[in-house]
Amino acid sequence: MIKISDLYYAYKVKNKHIEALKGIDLEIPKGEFVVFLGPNGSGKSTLVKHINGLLTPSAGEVVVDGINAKEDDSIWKIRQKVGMVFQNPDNQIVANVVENDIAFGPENLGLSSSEIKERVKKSLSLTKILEYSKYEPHLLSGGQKQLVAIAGALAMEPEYLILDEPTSMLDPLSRRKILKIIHDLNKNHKTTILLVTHFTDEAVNADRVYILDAGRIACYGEPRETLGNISLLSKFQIKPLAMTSLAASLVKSGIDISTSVLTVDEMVEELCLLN
Amino acid sequence: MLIELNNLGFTYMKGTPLARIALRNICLTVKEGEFVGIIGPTGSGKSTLAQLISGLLKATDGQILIDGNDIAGSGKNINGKKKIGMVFQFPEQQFFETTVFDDVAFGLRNMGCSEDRVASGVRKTLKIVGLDFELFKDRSPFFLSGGEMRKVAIACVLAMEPDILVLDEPTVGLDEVSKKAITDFLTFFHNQGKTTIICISHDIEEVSKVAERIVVLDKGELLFDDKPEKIFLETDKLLEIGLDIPDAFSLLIELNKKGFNLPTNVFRIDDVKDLLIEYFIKEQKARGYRD
Repeated sequence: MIKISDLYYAYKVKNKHIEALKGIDLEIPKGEFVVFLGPNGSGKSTLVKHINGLLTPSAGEVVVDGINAKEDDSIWKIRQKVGMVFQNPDNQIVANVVENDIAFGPENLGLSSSEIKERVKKSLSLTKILEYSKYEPHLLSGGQKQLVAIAGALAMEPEYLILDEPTSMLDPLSRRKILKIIHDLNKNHKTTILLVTHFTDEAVNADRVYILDAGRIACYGEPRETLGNISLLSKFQIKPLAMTSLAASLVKSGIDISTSVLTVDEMVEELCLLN
Repeated sequence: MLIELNNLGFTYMKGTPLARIALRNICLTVKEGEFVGIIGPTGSGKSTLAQLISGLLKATDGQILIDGNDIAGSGKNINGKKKIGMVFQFPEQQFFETTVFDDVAFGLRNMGCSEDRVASGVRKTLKIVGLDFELFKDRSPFFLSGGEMRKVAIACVLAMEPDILVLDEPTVGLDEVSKKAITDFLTFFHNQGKTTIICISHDIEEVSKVAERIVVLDKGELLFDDKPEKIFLETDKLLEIGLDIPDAFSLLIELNKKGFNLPTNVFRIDDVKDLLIEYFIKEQKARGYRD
């Protein structure tokens, strides 16, 4: 379980303190799929960077499975538990052959070479890139590179996986692929997923959605409670799902359907009931 | 300016064992003032095409004519480049000056314009992209919001008053508010002048909101070239090559599968809304009469 209490974080720009996080409290139980939404500058990335100790709180506590991220010697324990994948895969790849890149983490753990090989193979197959194991990463497409980055994180066998806008530079097909893979990880391997994204549709199948605004948690709840609430979303400059906004305008025009429709299938169902 | 692509092809590292064909046999005509969206999955050759039209790459097969002149020809090549402005992906990564004014002025100064002409050009261009000259001219381009940065970067290219504007993924990596600001600007700019706009994207829904015509590329070949609402009718093919269909359009298709008889010539969410309202209001009235 990840437990964050009263977390504050401020950074300095030209001698001015800018508060990026202003009192965050949250608990993420093991095995959940959690999505963080919010406008640029709302603190999403800053928040998740605290969870594997990339940033140290200005005040407050971040505790992962009972280990406090504040203590210097506990940071390495936390980083073994919490893997992280960033927006731009080019910034995360270190080796010049895919399988060596994925082996980088386990090698640093000092594992035996048979164990390393085992983990590399497992990560490659989880991310469905076994066929690229001998490729040079720079010859892969953006989506393929991002899968290499995810495989690199998985080779550390993290219990928690944080993904900070992993799909924002990718095309729709790669985006769908990556979403499917992280959902599979969550379902079949019980990996807890923390996904930061701009894409509202990536939150539809989450267990819980957190909306951040100006360094605070503005609200949270199940997808239907959050994404299905148009006025709430517009308050925080989050684009509602196409079907949710369509439902709202149909209701306004006197067509009697539910306003918390999220997907095309749900909308078809609602409209068929009318017909 | 009229752009004509005749059997255009491009092969990277042609004549070596590493040769890789990026584009083949592209035939396309873009009229003056037209707004064309070029869509395709990763590796379809979109960016290569943009670089060819901008004269940054030289065609290995076929030719590109701009107002009838082959841009691969010697002297005219350079001439061509002045008339074509290219906005790269993440253009704000190319900022290097200390103020917005100097960054936007860079191109004009390089063209040898007088400082008076530079100042009026910068003022005019910032106005076009919707940024207040007095508020922004002395600010650092590095400390702006994502959307403002992108606008300044587009202004850097527009300042040179190109006849043809080529944009490579102009909204990638921006949040919703900034995305809308950029697409609103493009619509405004397109309606205002006669600049030909070619916009590369993998977001078909977004481009179809602003472009009059969509060209779909797949594996280096031209797959479709038509109005957006016609392109969406190719749903299965688009999904197969890895593109998305707007939810509003999928809704119409799915409803028709369930026995609705709705026209499929619209795809914008507002048009679909009007269509459904009309359908259901009529339906209710018809039922009212029956009762």
